[in-house]
Amino acid sequence: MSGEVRNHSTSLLRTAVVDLKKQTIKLLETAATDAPSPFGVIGLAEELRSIWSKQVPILQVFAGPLTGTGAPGSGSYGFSWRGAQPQEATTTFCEGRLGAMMKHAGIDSIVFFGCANLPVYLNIAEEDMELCDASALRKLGIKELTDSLLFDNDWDDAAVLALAAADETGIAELVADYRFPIGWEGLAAVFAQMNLQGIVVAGAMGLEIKEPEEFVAACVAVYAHKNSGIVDDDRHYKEVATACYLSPWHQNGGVELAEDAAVEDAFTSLDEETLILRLLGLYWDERFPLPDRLAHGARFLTLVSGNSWSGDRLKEAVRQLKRTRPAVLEKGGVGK
Amino acid sequence: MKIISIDATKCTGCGICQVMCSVSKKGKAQPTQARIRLRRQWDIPEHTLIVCQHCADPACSTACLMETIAKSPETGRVEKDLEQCFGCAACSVMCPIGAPVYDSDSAKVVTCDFCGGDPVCVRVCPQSALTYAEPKDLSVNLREKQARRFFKDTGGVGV
Repeated sequence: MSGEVRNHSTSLLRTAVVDLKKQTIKLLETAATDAPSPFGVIGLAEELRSIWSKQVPILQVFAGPLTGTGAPGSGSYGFSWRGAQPQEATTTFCEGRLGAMMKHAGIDSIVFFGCANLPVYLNIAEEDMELCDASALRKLGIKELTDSLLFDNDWDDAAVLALAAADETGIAELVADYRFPIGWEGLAAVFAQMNLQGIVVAGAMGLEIKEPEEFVAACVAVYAHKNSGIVDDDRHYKEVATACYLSPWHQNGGVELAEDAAVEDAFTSLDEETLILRLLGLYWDERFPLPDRLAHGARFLTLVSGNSWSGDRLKEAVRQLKRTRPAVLEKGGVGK
Repeated sequence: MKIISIDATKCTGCGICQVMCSVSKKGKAQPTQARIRLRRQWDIPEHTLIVCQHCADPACSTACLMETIAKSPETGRVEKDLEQCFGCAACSVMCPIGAPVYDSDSAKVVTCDFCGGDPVCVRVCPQSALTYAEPKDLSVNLREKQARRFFKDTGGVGV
């Protein structure tokens, strides 16, 4: 499968559905043309509706159509979950390598539901997916746990998300790739509730770019603009966020938490433009170095998919998504 | 002859160089197929760059069973006749840093060709950590930079 090239418009959208109670993994495939929006798989595939309406806790990790393509800041991926507390479905986004690596492993989304009897972690090495026993890893610190999770994955550069005790406080925390905290308390609590200790993903599939030359030129233009104001002081760089696909204009030393830190649904807390960009897989905010972020997002989507997209069409798509989403995700919704 | 060099104090390990290399050369985002690679060391963190150095006496040339690799006297670059390559990867094995990459589409082993003199990886690096320059210039720049840092760290007046 390493030689496989995935196409945003024509490839199947793949969702791994993991039943933690029964310890089973099913792969659901949905035609991209059946996806209800340009945002691909986000818990809306018809097959997932019944799961969403019946299961608590439930957690979905999903990547956008531009996640992992190499567009600047194209590491945005999201989590939708519904735990015991609160009961409402919540969606939030973060950035890093996990979403991109899921795409390279041929997976657009992973849905976990139920609670495992013993601690487990999900290990994905391209076509091989397995739930592994994590009982012995339960009380390890972040570094030891990440080392252990990586040890079982044969790939060199796997992306890791680990639920571990933070060194200083001992409080459980979700940490990506050794050093990037994903600090939403509600999300870590759902992992803990499910007995899910971590996710390890690696893969080598290619993501097709329909217009590669123009795509590269568009990326170069963004970076050139960003770099035009850069300061040549190497101590400055050590403070810059350091994970693949992190937005290069973030300078606070880690995964962005400020606006998404509260357990608050991104669909209501984010402005429309930012939400669209997050759903596309672009972790852009007002610091994006060029005017009209949405037009740039639409352009990148056009260059990747080969279909023409505009800001207005994306706005219409996200409004449609907002209208249909509650019926799909909330308890007692369509699938009941 | 210019080469691509990394300033490890600036590199954040984002890997955009790899992704863009694969998009540029193969039309798809596939970092494992890039001709430039980062070996990430998150603990330090200082990341290492693996890319053809166009050595003065290239081991890959010696290793090639088909004698397709040679150092060009005009450009100084290590060049390869890809028509003859059958993908045995002996060059990759013999290379001290393992720079040659097996291209799964063409079934040949390829190396960085500097994109014809304007490398995409250098242009897109968000931290300007990659430089395409003469080795002697890189050496001078590095020494100056370290001297500046030393003076700043020790409270000196700077250079």
